[in-house]
Amino acid sequence: MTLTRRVSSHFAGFLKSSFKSYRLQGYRSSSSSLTHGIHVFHCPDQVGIVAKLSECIASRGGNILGADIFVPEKKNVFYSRSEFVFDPFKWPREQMDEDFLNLSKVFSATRSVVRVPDLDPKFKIGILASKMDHCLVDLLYRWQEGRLPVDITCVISNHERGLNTHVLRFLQRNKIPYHYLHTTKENKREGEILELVLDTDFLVLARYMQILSGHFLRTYGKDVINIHHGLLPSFKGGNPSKQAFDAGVKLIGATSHFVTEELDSGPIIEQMVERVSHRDNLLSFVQKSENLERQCLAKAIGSYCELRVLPYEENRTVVF
Amino acid sequence: MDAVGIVAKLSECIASRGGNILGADVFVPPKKNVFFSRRRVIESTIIRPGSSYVQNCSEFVFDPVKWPRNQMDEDFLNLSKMFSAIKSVVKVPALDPELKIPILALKQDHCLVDLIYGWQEGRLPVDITCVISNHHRGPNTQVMRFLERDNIPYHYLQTAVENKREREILDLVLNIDLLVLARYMQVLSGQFLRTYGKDVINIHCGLLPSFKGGNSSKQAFDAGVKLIGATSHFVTEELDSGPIIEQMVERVTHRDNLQSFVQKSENLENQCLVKALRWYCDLRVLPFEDNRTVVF
Repeated sequence: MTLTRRVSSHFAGFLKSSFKSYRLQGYRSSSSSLTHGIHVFHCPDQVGIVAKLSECIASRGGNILGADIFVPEKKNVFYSRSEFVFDPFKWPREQMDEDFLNLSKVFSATRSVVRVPDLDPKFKIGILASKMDHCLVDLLYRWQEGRLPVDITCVISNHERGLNTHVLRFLQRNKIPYHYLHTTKENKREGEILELVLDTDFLVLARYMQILSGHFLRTYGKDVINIHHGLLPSFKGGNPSKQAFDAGVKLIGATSHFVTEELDSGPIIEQMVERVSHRDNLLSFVQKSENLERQCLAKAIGSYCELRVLPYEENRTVVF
Repeated sequence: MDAVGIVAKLSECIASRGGNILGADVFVPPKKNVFFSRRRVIESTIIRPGSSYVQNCSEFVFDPVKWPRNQMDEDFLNLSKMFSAIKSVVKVPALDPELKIPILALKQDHCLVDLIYGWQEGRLPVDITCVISNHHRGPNTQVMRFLERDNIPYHYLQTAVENKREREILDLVLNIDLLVLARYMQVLSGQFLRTYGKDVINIHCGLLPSFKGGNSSKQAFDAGVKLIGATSHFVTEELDSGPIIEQMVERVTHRDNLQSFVQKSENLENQCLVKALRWYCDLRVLPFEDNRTVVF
């Protein structure tokens, strides 16, 4: 899409205000120097927001490719997500931050985030997993294929894995640290986990079977995405495949959601289902479920990285 | 007698009378020694030879001259005795009377209207004997005019917390094959179910076991789910907990409000109930273990 070089680790992070300028290399041509940008905006509703946002982009030579606007009835709140292309020479990254910051002040925005995927550093994530590693393996594979636009900081697990296992060899080959933190009822090792993930942008629980305390969540302060192997709010807690099997349902599903203090109750991001029939036994229930979990978690993370997921009211999400 | 050979005997019986099997579904759940099968005549048998279970459902075509209906009944009866069948049902849709069903409905009549319309179009192979409701409908409403035109009696039985009018409902439906609850919002007591003794199919506006009870659309809306559904199931004493027959879903997003949740839900309920009814009439739905169903 663009010939600009990916800037490596000199960046201070797209959310922080201090921002180093950079030198672009590569030749310019009429279209190939255009860079892709995403902006999400969440503020109290009023007349003129879209006008001002689009004006801002246009005035800098940006070309809007698509926009999603959502203003729920009677709630006095405005959500938008715009995708645009721009010339980084005409609209330097620093200037872009400042322009959108001004807009966010004008409209008293709850949230105003701009992201330029090709220039900004990738999201840094920590993945937590337990014994079941189908989700973890799937995420690692997608990451290797370049389909998961993140930097995996580390993998933390309460399950020990031998050096010769697929996961360990993969992580070793890609220089991703694996931390085995054995948990007990009394000690969930949250302090150590916090230290390991302090520098990440969000956490992914890939079938991590320990509950994170409210204290952990508050201290970490950033988003945590979990995959639940059931169609919430059905079958919360453990062994939902067996619960579903015993209940005789004809549809099973998976749910990816943000983690809150209450188990399996945070805002839902994505849900997927698959049919089951009398011909399914518990094993096929589990297999279908694992397949759904992989897809559902990957989709949720993908949407999140593209800034498509926004908190909505107390326990819901807008997913553009 | 063991389970090997059941299919042979059943097919032999049909073939010996010149019947031609169109399709067959055989299901033997592993480790349970239960055998279910369905071949498309709509002959449904549950056999339990010794310790095993067999469910057989066949569909076939035959010449009623060569194989008269009462001879067919006798043949399958003999087979069922041979295999100690728990259940053996033969149905010849073109000849046998249609399944008689009374419908119980409440104020929200989207399901009722849809059922009546489907029946009118000949898409629902049933005989609607009556409609019972605890909601009064004026003679000029669509439902009433429709029922009047087709000579289907409408019984208004107002219910109160103390009096669910179950006695009177039972009187009306006692000889009917199947009860359909088309968004009937009163809970039928265990006593009623035992006295009635036959199957009762209900449509629940939610993906069981989520959102049991009332106002499930609102429950779903508040929970922020991304998929809503409907579930049709057999009614048992426990509310919204009987064996599930069919479930359907549809996507919802942040753009949906409560009204669109309800509309999507109603649409799903219509489809789901009709589907369950049709399958039931086709003898595709068989009880399986405690709380499940085989649906061929």
